[in-house]
Amino acid sequence: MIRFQEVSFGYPGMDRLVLEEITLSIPTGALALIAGPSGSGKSTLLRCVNGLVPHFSGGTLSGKIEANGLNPAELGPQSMSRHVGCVFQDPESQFVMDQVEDEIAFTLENAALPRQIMVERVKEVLDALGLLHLRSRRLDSLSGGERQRVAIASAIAFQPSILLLDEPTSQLDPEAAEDLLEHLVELKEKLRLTIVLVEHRMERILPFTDLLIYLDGKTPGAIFGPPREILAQIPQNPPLIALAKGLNWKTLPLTIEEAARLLKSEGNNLSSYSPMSQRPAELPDQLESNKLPAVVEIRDLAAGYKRENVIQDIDLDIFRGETLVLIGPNGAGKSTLLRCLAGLTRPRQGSIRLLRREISELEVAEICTQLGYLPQDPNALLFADSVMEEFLISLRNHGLSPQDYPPGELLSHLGIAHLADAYPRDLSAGERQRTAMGAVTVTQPAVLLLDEPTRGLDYEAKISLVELIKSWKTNQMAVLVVTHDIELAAMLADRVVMMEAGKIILDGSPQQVFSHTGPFAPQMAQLFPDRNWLTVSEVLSGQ
Amino acid sequence: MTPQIHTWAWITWLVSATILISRTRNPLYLTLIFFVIYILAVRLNRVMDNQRPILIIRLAVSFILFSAILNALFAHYGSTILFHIPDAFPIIGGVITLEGFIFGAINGLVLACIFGAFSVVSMALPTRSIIRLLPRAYYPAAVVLSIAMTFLPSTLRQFNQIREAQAVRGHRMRGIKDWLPLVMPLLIGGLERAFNLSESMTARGFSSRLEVRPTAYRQVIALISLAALLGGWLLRLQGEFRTAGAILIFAGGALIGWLIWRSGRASPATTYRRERWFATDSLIVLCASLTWVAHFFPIFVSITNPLSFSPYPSLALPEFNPWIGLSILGLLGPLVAMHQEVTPSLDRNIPANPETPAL
Amino acid sequence: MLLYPFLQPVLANNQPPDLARSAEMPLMISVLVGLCLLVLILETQSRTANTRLIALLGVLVAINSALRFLEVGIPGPGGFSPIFVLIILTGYVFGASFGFLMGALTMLVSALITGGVGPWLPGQMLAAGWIGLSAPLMRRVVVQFNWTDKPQEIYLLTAFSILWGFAYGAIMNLWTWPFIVGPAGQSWMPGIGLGEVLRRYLAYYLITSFVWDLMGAAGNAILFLIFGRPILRALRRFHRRFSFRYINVDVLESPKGFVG
Repeated sequence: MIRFQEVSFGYPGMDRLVLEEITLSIPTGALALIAGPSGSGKSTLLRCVNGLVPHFSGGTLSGKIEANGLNPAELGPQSMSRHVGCVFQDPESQFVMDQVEDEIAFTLENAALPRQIMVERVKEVLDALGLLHLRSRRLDSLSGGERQRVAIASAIAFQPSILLLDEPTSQLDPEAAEDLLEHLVELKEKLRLTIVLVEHRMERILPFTDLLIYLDGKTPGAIFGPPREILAQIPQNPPLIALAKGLNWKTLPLTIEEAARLLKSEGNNLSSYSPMSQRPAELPDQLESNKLPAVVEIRDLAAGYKRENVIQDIDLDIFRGETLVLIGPNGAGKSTLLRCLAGLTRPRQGSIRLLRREISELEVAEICTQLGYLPQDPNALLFADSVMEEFLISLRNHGLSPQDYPPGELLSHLGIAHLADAYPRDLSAGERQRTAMGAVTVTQPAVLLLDEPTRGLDYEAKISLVELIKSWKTNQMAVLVVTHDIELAAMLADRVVMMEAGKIILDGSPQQVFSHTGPFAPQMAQLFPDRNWLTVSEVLSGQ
Repeated sequence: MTPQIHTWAWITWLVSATILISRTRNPLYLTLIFFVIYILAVRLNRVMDNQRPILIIRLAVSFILFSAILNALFAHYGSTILFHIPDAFPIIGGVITLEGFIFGAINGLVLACIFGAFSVVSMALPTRSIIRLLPRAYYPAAVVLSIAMTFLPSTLRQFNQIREAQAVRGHRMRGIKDWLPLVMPLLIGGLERAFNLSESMTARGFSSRLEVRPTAYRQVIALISLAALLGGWLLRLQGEFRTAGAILIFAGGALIGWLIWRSGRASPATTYRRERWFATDSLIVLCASLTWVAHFFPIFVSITNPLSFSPYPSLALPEFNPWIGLSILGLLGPLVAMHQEVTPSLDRNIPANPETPAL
Repeated sequence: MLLYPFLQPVLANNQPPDLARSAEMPLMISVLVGLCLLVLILETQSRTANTRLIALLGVLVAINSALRFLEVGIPGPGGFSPIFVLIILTGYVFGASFGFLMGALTMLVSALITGGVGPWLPGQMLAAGWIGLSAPLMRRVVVQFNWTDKPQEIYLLTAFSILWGFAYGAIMNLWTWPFIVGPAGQSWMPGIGLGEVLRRYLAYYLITSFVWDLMGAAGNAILFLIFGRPILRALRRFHRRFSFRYINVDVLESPKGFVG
């Protein structure tokens, strides 16, 4: 049982309170999900339970917190660590040791447990997470998902009764995320844990959530209760919920099956019209008959590392003003293709032409005057003292003057003009991404490549991103997005290309492609097959 | 495959080798020692499937040459005069003798042997084992080392990522100034990761072992021990009261040892990994201790220092006692454990099996 | 208080040229320096025994050691080592104990990974440690003249690094001298005075490594002038986050209002 009673907290040096008069209670054995816009204090709330707030973070805390009868604010994280385990976001920076076993033992050694018990405990914990076969592997040879599982394993090494997780899947791809959450639910049952979770991708975990807590960051207090109840009250909505609200259904579906059932039972006004979607089923003729040369032409491309080819026989054209989304399972070669386009990986065979120029003789820096590439981790780009400075640095690199390529305009376009003097690395994930995007597009390139841009973003940031990308279109910039996020693809794409095992297997309009891809389709498409609807707004506006 | 030799066995080997090497200036013995080390290094290289070539020979040659030349230039003593540098030159003016060269060469050989011995051990011992050796008192430092080792590969990977990211925004490597956009994100990223790491460590109860404040008492002891060391050494250098000096040094060392032990007691902990001790390990230790025979030989045959040798004042052939030579071969011990294959039963570090006799 | 241990090994190192015990001396020096090092590490680590600083130290040592790797690839004349910049600056920002450990452990880790472990390692660790240890002294000067965040601050630190560039080289030479030249170089000349010994050492130094160290010091200076400012700024920014903060907790059943 976790209880908060009128808890308020402010970080040191900040006037504004991050948490204000929070009162809530989480019953033992429940899985609680904390939701809310970014900056609303979700992580802070989480950290109150094991004493990291205020002992690690500093600041002023008032009110009463109780976790299984203990007072974390008084005891501090060291003592609480026996009762509360904690898993963080970044699989790269949670580990002290380099082997799986040693990492888990590290926690136990600190507590001076007798060796016998340590040995058994390590085995138990590894087994509980299905990691026994990986026990002597080096941590950096594991995938992100496996590493997070090791983090969970270390967190439960003391057999705590509460487990806290701060966005554990945000750095993982959907399959790994799914996997992790499944393990988590299993764990909860097996060990009778109380789990408190902050997670943006609500859809996956909602069916298993017992309690949904929502912080809106503006009004004091938090609302909490069973998920369906709370979802009805909050603006953050996964597609199914948005659909349900739009159709005024009484209960909110949490899975596609539920939605399908509700579709039948609640009835809807959808069946009465012709299934016309606003989006044409075929590629608009205008693009084809345009006969304008493509911005990017790829012919017979093959590339890879070491001996094998990761991608081969790639033929692709990208046209001006087009938003192309590249999807496919892990290892399909999507990132490799992007890297070839940017010149980071030299192809073994074939040619790539950017604006009619063959790029194989060009340096990356030269290619990137006309091609913006946003890597998966934008942090690798940022190091200046202010956002404006970042833009100026890029201009300087290319030898261009700020007169000809005014950064101010770009700042406004990206919606970060008010942050021009802010220190980039202190900004939120979405703002940092925009800064990085600015840094690579300040030269007004003809093509923009985005590699997994929605990783770590919450709903609002995702929506803003979609708006932003759509706005690039008016500048006739071609955008190529690699993503695992199907909903994003549904919202954005003019054209979808699917890759598998290094080859392109589908290339066409979203409707065309998604009707052939099975589980790789947006939820609306799965719910309404043969209707060519991909997003909720399409469904609803079809009314 | 790293040979299955216990860390302590290696340490004993290393200590025996180092002491032996330092106590002798006899070029024949030294060459034999070098030969032994070279054999070990080659065998080790093959067993571990290392691609790196062995630099020992090359380094040895440069040590020897360098040292020989230097010494010849500085020491103007010896009976075989090679040539004469006018006295007008400061310091190096004077006779240049063959003995000078040879003495220098011998010193170079000593260095080469020591370096070789250390190289062999550092090739064979994974760093983790070394860290695990550290006494409990040094736990925080050991953790720092572990973290550093863990973060090294990811630091290098990050560096590559950063290089590419900067290239993508037009950065070119033209001069030193262009390293800035590469180093800064690395540094800042590192700082951020350190912060996350410390949060994660705190959440796992790490800090409970660190709150050992230094008491004034301990600091005073530390100072006294250092003073004892220094004093003792100075005494020894004077030439008189040498034994008193030795005792002081011992006392200082002992105090330090005690200090370490006491600090260790303050932070209780258990260790997860245990290394198994095999018969081969005992054999290695035994063989290495053979070398100690060389030191104690005089007791039997009443020669003062069988290991010493000096080319001064005039060059003479060094003597070679076959018994001592044999004892040197004791250093070949580790060869015994360097199999090409590693059978699972020999896999040390099996914490999962409680019946394993652990050391 | 922390300076006492500083002095002991300095004196220890200055003694070698005296009449020596033939072959025993190099070993003795190693052992003595090793022991000094042990004590110093023990002391300094207890002052930095704070999870945040430990994690920070670990990651910084990793970065610095990685830089040392690159040292091999940088086409600079010898003696040019990029690691000193971080050692000096971290000591400067985070304190003497931190700086000492940064220097000593960077040397240890880079030696371990490159396999360059040898009897010179304790000396290297100690000397590098001193660099970090003494860096905060500069802080006093800077505060005195109110040079914080001004160019003079960097100039002072650059001068500091040049000084240490030479000093480090000199110390390392002092270290290897008895190994290479050997005490027998003087043993036949009884009663050598300190003056003569220093002269000889100076000559030795000049011949062997002056040029090397000159390059090293110049290299350090260049690095400092280019990278000093941004690195210092970054470290300072994070210093706040990493310092131990006084916690203000009011954990009662107090209803409204919160007590600071």
